[in-house]
Amino acid sequence: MDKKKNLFSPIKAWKYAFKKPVSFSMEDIIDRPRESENNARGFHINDHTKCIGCGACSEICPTEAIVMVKRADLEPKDGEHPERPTIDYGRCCFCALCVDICTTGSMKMSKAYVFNTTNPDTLYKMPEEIFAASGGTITGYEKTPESDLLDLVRAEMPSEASEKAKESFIELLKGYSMAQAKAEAARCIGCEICVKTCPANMHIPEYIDAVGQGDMAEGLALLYKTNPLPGVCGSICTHKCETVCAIGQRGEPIAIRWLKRYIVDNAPESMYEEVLMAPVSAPGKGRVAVVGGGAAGMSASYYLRTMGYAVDLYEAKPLMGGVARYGVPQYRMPEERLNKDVDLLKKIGVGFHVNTKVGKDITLDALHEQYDAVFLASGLPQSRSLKLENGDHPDVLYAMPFLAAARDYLRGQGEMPDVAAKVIVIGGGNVAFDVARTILRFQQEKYGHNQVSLVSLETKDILPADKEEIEEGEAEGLRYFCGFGPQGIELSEGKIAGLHTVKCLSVFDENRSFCPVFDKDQKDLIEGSQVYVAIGQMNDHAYFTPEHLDKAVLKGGKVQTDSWGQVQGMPWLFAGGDIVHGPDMIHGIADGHQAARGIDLYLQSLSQTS
Amino acid sequence: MSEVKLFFGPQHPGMHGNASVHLYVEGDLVKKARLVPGMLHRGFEKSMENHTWMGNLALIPRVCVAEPDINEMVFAQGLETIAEVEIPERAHYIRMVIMEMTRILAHMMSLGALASPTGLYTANQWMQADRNNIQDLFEAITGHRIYHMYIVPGGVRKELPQGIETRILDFFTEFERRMPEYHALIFENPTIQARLKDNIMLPEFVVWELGVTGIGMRSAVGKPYDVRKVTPYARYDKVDFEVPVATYSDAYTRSVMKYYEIKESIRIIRQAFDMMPQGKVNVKIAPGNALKWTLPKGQTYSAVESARGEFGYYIVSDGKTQPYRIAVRGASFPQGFLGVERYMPGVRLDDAPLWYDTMGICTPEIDR
Amino acid sequence: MTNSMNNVKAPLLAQIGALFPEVRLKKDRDREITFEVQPRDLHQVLTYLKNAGWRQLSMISCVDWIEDGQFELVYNVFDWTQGLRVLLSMKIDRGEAQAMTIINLFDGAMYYEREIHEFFGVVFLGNEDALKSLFLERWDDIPPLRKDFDSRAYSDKKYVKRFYDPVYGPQGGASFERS
Repeated sequence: MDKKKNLFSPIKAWKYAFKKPVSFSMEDIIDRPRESENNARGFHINDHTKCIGCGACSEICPTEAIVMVKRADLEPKDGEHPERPTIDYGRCCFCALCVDICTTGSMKMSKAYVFNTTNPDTLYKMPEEIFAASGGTITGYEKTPESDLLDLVRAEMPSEASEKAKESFIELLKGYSMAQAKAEAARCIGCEICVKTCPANMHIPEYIDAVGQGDMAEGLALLYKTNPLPGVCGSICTHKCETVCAIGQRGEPIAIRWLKRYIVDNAPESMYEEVLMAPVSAPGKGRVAVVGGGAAGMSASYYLRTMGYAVDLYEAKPLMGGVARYGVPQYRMPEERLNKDVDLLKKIGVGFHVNTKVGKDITLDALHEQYDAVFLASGLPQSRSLKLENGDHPDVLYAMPFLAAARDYLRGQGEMPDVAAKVIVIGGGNVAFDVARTILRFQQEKYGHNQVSLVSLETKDILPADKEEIEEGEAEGLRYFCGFGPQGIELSEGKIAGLHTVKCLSVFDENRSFCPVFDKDQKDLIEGSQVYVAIGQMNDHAYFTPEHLDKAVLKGGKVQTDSWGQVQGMPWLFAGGDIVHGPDMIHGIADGHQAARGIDLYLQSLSQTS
Repeated sequence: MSEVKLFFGPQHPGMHGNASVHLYVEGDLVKKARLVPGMLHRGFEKSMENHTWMGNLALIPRVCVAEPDINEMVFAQGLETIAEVEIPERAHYIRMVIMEMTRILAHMMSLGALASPTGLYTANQWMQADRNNIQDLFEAITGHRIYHMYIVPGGVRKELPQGIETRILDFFTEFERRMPEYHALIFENPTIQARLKDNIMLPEFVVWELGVTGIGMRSAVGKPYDVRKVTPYARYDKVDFEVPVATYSDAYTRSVMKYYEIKESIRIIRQAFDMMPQGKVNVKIAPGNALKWTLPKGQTYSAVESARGEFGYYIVSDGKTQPYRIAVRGASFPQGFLGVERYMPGVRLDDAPLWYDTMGICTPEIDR
Repeated sequence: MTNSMNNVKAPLLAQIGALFPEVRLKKDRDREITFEVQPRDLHQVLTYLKNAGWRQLSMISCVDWIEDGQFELVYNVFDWTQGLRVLLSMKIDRGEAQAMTIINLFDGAMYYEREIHEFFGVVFLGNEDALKSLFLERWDDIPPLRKDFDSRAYSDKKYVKRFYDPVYGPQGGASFERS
C-alpha cells in the first residue's frame, strides 16, 4: 500500500474546509435537542390508572431499581394492589425488562433521556411524573407480542370429547400431567392479587410454587392451612381468584383451581397421613356440635378438631358432603375425590352422625345442653318453587331432589330417576345446567338420543352459568330457549304436553332488582313431557323454635351474624355457609374456619371469666 | 544507565480501557513490562450467578464495553445449546446483521484509536462521526445506542422496524463510497506508514505459544482461522464472504486487515438482507414467564468471532432458574498478559501504546 | 456438516478410547466433545491432543461443586484445522485443592492458572507465579468465586449504603422504606 508522496496531497485535504461539519453545535444540543428514534429506551412512563400494582416489574428488575410503594390515595379493591412502582434512576440500566413483563401493558418508556440535577434524591421517581423536557411525553419503547416475557396461554386441560362424554358420567376433565402442571405453574408471577380475593385467603402463589418444584407434601400442607376440602374445591370452586389473576389482564388466567386438583390427585395416601395428622391436637378443650355435613360444616369440624375440641357432626342425609355429594353431578365432582376429603375428617376423629336431622331427630336446645357451642351450617337443601298454571302436576319436578336421586343411583343406592324422552328445564344458573346435562345422560342411556330444552329468562349472553357449562352443554346437544319466561303448563289427556312461554324483554330493573318484563304477544310453546324447575335453592330452618326466632335475626332467610359467625342474641350459637352468605362453597369453607376461631375465642373467654 | 519504572495507564490517552502496564525502561527502551489489571474488575462472573437467566441480559453487554453484542450472542447461543431449542430462521439472519454491524463499529473504533499513539487525531473524529450514524441505526432497531440487549436466548427481542432495511443499505452504500477517503487518511499517511510498517511484529510461533486468535493469528499464520468459517454459527455458512489473511504480521498489516474486514462485513449485511425469510423472530426457551425459566442440566462452551478474536462463555447450568457458573474467555486475554510480559520488552517507549493497541487488547474483557 | 464431523470425531474417539482406558466420554455435542479425565491422565491426554492438532488452549475454567466437595477444572482446547473443540473435565478435591500445572505444554496456561488460584484457591504444583495475586488488591476474604462466599453480605459489611429521602410529589405514599 505504498503510495508515492504526492506533492498535491496536502492540498487535496483543503476540500474538507468547504464541507458541512457533522458535529452538532452546543445550541442545537440544548435548545433543540435531538428527538430519539421510535424505539428508544428513555425514562419510564407508567399509566397509573391501568397499572394494578402487581409488582412483576419489581421482581424482574436486574438492578433492583424498582420498589413498590403503598399509596394512600388508592382504594384497595379486588384485582389490584394499592401500590405503584417507583424507580431509582441511579440504579436503572434502561434494559426495558420491566416493560416487557408488565401484566397490563401500562409501563412504557419515553423518548426522554436528558435529566440533570445536583440533588441525588430527585433521581427517585414514580413514573407518572413525566419528564417534560426533551420528549418526556412521547412514547418510545413499548412491548410487542414477540417481546412479551409473560406466558399468556394456559396449558390445555385434556378433556373427554363431547360425543363420548354424554354417554356416561365419566369425569370430563382428565387432569394435568406433571409436565403440564409445571408449565402452568411457571406462568405465575407471584403477585398475590388472588389471595385477597379468595374468601378463604388461600396461600395461592406458594402452593403454585410447590407444584412447580414438584413438592406435593409442601403443597398439601399449604392447602390445608386454609381449606380442608381441596379435592372438592379443585373440582367445583367458583374460582374468584382466576377472575382477578394478573395474567388474565391480557391473557388467560393461571388455572389455579386445576393446580389445586393436581396436588390432591398426586399426593399419595401416606403423605396425607404424614402431613395432616401431625398438627391435630388431642381432644380436651370442650365439645362442639356442627349441624350440616356440607362444606361449611366439614370445614368447621376440621379446624375445631385440630384445635383440640371434640366435634360431633350431624347430617340429615345418609352421607356427608352436602352439595358436593348430593348436588353436583359425577362428571364434575367424582365420588372418589370427595371421599378423599371426607375420610380425612373421620381419621382425625370427628364424630359422624348421619341420618340425624337436627330439629326432627334431635332439637337445637338439646344440642345447646350437651355441647359448649353449636355451629349451624345447614345449607340450602330445598328448591325454590315456581308458580305456574298446572304447576302441581306430578311430572313437574324440582332440581334438588332430582340431583340427589341421580347421585344415589350412580352410587348403586337407588333406582334410576324416570326421565322422559323430551324434557324441559327451567332455569339459567349452574344448577339448571347440572340438571339438564344429567337428564341428557340418562336419556342417552335409556333412549339412545337426547332432547332437553333449557328455558331461561336471561338471554344467552347474560346467562349466570359458567361459560364452560354453556359451551359443553351445547356440544352435548342441549337446546337453548333463552330469553323466555314460563307462563303455564299445557296438559293433554292428563299428561304434560309442553310449556307455554312468553318473550322476556329484561330481567333486572335500574336498581338491579329482579323485575322481569314480558312481551305477552310473543309466545312460544315448547314441547316436553316433564318439566324440571331449577330456579334457586332455599334453606330449611326446621330447628328454629319460636323462642329462637325471637332472639336470632333472619333477614330474607339469611341468619345475621357478626364477623366471627356468632349469632347475635345467642352467643353459644354460630352460623356460616350458604345460610349466611348465599350459595358459594369457598365462602362457606372460609366461614367454617372463621367460626372455628370465633368459637375458640368465645369459649376461652368463658373459661377465663368462670 | 539506570532503570526507571513508568506506569502506562490507567489514565493515558493511548490506553484502551483502564489497566496499568508497569514498564521498566532504560533510556527509551522497554526492558520489562507487566500488566496489572483489576481496575475494571466488576465481579461479573459472581454477579451472573445471582440473577435469573433473563435477568442476566442487563449484565452481559457490559462485560466487553467496546463490543457489547458478542456477549449477548454467546450467552444466547449457549443457552439455546443447553436447552436444545431451535430458533427461527429469520432470527439467525437478523443476528448476523447485528453482529456484523457491531464488528464494523468495533473496527472503526480501533482504527480511530490509532490516533493517540501516533498523533493522527483526525482519524478518531472521523471514525466517531460515522459510528454515531450507525449507532442511530441501532437505536432504531434495538432502542439503545451502545448496550443493545437485543439478542436474547430464543432469538431477537423485537421485530425489525419498518423501513430499516432501506436505511441500513443506503447508509452503507454511502459509507462504501467514502471508504477510499478513510484509506487515504490513515493508510496513505506518511506518519502512519513510518510508525506502523515493519514495526511490532507478531511471528507465527508466538501465535501458537500464546494462543492468540483473531486478526493477530490470521495475519501471522496465513490461514482463514476465523470462528465464522471453521465452526460456523448463525447461518454464516450460507453467505459468501472472505476472510483477509497475511503471512507477514506487522502493525500495518493488522490495521489494514481491519479495513478489509469492514468491507466484507458490508457484503455480509447485504446478503443477509437478501436471504432473510419472513416469520417469527423468537421462541421461548422454557415454559412459563421469564422469572421462572429453568434450563436442563448441562455445560457448554459457546464462541463467536469478535473483532479481536475468539470470544466465548463457558456456561454451566444445574437445572435451576439461575446459572451455576459462567466463565468468560476474553479474546485478548493471551496477548494482554503473556504477550505484554514476554514480547513488549524490546519496543521503544513511544511504541508501547501502539503495541498495546495494534495487538487488539481490550481491557474490560480481561478484567470482567 | 454432520457427516464430515463424524469423520473427524470417530477416529478421535477411537484413539482416545484405545490409548486412555480411564477417560470417559461425558457429552457429545455437535462440535464439542467433553471427556472426563483423571488427574494422573491429564498430561498424557493433553500431549496427545496437542500433537494431533489441538494446538490452541482457549481457556481453563473452574466450577465449584460445593455439595459434592469438589472442584471441576475444565481444559478447553481447539483445533483450527478441523473445527472441533475438546473439553477435558477433571474433578479434584475441594478441601485440598491442587492440580499439576500444564505450563510446560501450553504457555498460555500460566495466567489462567493464576486467575483460578486467585478466585478459587486451587494450587497448581509447578507454577509458583500463580500464587501471586492478579486482579484483586489487598483481598481479605476467602477466594471470591467459591460458592460459600456471599458477595452481598461482603458488600453490606464493607461499604456504606445510601438511603434516599425521595421527593416524588403529592401522589407519593407517606412512609417509604427501602429494603
